[in-house]
Amino acid sequence: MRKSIKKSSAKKRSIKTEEKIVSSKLSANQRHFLQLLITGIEDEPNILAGRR
Amino acid sequence: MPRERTSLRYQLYKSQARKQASIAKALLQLPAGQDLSKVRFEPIDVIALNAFERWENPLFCWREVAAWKSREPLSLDIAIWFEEQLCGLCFVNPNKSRQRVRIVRLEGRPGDSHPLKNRIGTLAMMVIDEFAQIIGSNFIEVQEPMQGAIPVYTKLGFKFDFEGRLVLAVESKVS
Repeated sequence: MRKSIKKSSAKKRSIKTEEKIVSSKLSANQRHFLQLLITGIEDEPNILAGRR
Repeated sequence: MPRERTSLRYQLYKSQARKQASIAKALLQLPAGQDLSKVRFEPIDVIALNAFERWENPLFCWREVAAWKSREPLSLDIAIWFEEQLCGLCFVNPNKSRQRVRIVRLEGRPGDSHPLKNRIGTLAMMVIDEFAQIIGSNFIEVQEPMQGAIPVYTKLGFKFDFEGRLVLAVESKVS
């Protein structure tokens, strides 16, 4: 009888699967940032933080 | 734990944060004509510093970040690229207890011509928020926000706390 060889689940995991996992685990902040990325934030200055 | 192993662990946290932010960004469905797939989050390395030299009239000298990085092993440095164009730079450092991640510097490429104009703050925050979650911080704080940038932070969700610090609460991931 042939012995079946199982591939490890880590190897089978594709990038798409990884993206699905991440999307299901996005925090509320991350979801909000993604929304803001669509339009951008108007009049964003070049300098956002730092000591002059 | 030996210092070398700690340093490697910290490097892993940083690269994880940059990678997670890239994956999250890839989920975005953008209207036709907009393409953020060419955005990359990298460390501030020699390539980034060389590209920075071509910026016209930047406010900060980012070369000094190299020294800061070696002094602060848990600090996070972000170079925001669009293809081969360096569009933004950011340096972040957690406090000793790691309860707060402080944004020390954040600057977009001067001028209106770069492809990530109006998106630098948001892109930087995606990486910083991931990093804050990884190291278990409760807040992201803007150490010295520029006056003109306050409305940007407000849109990102930041608020002034009772001590007058501009902060954003870090939320854990939900499934």
